[in-house]
Amino acid sequence: MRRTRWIMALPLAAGLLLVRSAAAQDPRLERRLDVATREAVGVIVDAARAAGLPVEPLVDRALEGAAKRADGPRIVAAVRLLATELAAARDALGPASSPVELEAGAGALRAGVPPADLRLLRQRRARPLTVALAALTDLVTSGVPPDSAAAAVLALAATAADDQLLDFRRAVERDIALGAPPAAAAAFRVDAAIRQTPASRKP
Amino acid sequence: MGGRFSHAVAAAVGWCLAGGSRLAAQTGATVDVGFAGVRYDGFLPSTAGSISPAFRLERPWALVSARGTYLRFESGRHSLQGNLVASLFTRSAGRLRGEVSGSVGASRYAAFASFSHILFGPRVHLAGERQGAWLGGMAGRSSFGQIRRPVTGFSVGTWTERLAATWLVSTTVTHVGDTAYADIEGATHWQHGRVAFDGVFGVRGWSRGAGHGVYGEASAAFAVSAWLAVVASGGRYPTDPTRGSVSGRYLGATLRMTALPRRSTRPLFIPRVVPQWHSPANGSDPAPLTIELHDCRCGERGQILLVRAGEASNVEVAGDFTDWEPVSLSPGEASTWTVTLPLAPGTYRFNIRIDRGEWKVPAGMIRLIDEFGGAVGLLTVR
Repeated sequence: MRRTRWIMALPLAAGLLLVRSAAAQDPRLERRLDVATREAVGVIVDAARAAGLPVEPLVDRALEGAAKRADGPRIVAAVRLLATELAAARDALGPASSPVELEAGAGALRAGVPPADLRLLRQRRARPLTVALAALTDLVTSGVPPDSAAAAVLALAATAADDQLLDFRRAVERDIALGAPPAAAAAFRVDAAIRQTPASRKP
Repeated sequence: MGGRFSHAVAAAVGWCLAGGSRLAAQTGATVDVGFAGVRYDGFLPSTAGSISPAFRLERPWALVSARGTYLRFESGRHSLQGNLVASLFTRSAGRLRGEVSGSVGASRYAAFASFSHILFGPRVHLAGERQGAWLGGMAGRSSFGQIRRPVTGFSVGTWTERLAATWLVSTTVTHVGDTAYADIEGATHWQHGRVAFDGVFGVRGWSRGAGHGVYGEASAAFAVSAWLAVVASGGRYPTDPTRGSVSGRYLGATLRMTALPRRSTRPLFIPRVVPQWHSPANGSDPAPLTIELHDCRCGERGQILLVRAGEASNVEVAGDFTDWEPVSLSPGEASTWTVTLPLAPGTYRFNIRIDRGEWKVPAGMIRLIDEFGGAVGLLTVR
């Protein structure tokens, strides 16, 4: 029995070793990262894959760190953080969310948007959430308080097209650059945007 | 009257009060025409031409100062701004004298909503022959389009004449809605014969929403004749939430034509009015780094990235769609650079680099703080 168990264990161990090496041997990572960083990133990527999370954003994040000449520990920390955020985004947006939605959702959570607002956004907007989440994140990083930013995007979520959300985001950014308080700029522009969305036009 | 303009006018008032009846009534009008290199924080540098008329009227019991500026950037866009300050003084009570002042101003950039402000406030001056001090408060409103914010603040300062120059130190605390900041400034004015020098150095040490840091400006004027002077000026100034100008730096030269020369034989401390280069800016000007996407209609989801980069000899893009390998763009006409890339619909993190400098985010793009000490842009392909 013991011998059988060892025989059974051997291929499993070999398989795990093989899987762990696969991520670390991604030619893109091999070219750009040192051995230690590559191995550490590989462990994170493999764990994410096993959890059903998209792994390409994790590889991209590592490559971004390499392009920006970040040191190994910083790259590993960035990849680990993104993996955690992707998992949290999937909890908030639902398991059927696309990889790009999960990545956008991770950005929104990191910016300080509460998970409950992401769930509301999923409920209110039938279209893909990528642009809405990106606009929401940008508003928060521009200084609009997370609750105000979420309220603004949720107000537009049901009816505004992606183009309109991007225009709204651009207008708020311009107003903030000119000195308007971020929350007021968002509130001012959401009023204007609501008046322009098809559902609010008079027949 | 937030910031430097407030203290400068207060110092001038104090000086006038000290001079009292020995000064003849002063009236002066000038027109400055010039050009400068300007760089608003966060944007690429640009050049701009300007014309700036100014008027000043001084009486023992009143002071009126006005200035307007028309700026035209190399992009063709322009801004217009104006400011009017008026003060009335009480009778002297020993060395003390009271003042009530008001300030109105407005600025407009291209077709965007304008900024305006209106402020009132009392001051108390303690004026001696060669030194003085003041303490004052102000309240009013700053508006951006339909958005209005209350403005309150106080300032305290002192001035003195030493070493053939006038020196001033002040502290101003300003609240504009939720924004608040405190500036400590020193200023000086020196004049000898045909040459006059003005300088300001300040520190914004405490701020909530208006930035921190040091700033300073200087100007030197050479009087060619009683009617014409050449002025060189430059420096760095902070954000002004009251007037809606973003922080920046500039270096320029102007010709100053004096329509009404001053009659007094005694040097007059002329407050440095808000420099003409303090202009509203937005995310599209003066000459920002921008990016556009065009369908190349060449199949395989090809997209043309078009970057407008001003003066550059090499432009590169790196992002999720290049595995973060820098890809060089090809130069085109009018400072444009292009590359065609296969981009499936989605959202990509990316940066642009000019002449192998820092990785930047083009203006108008969603901008996120990355995990590596900088910023990254978000490109959405539909």
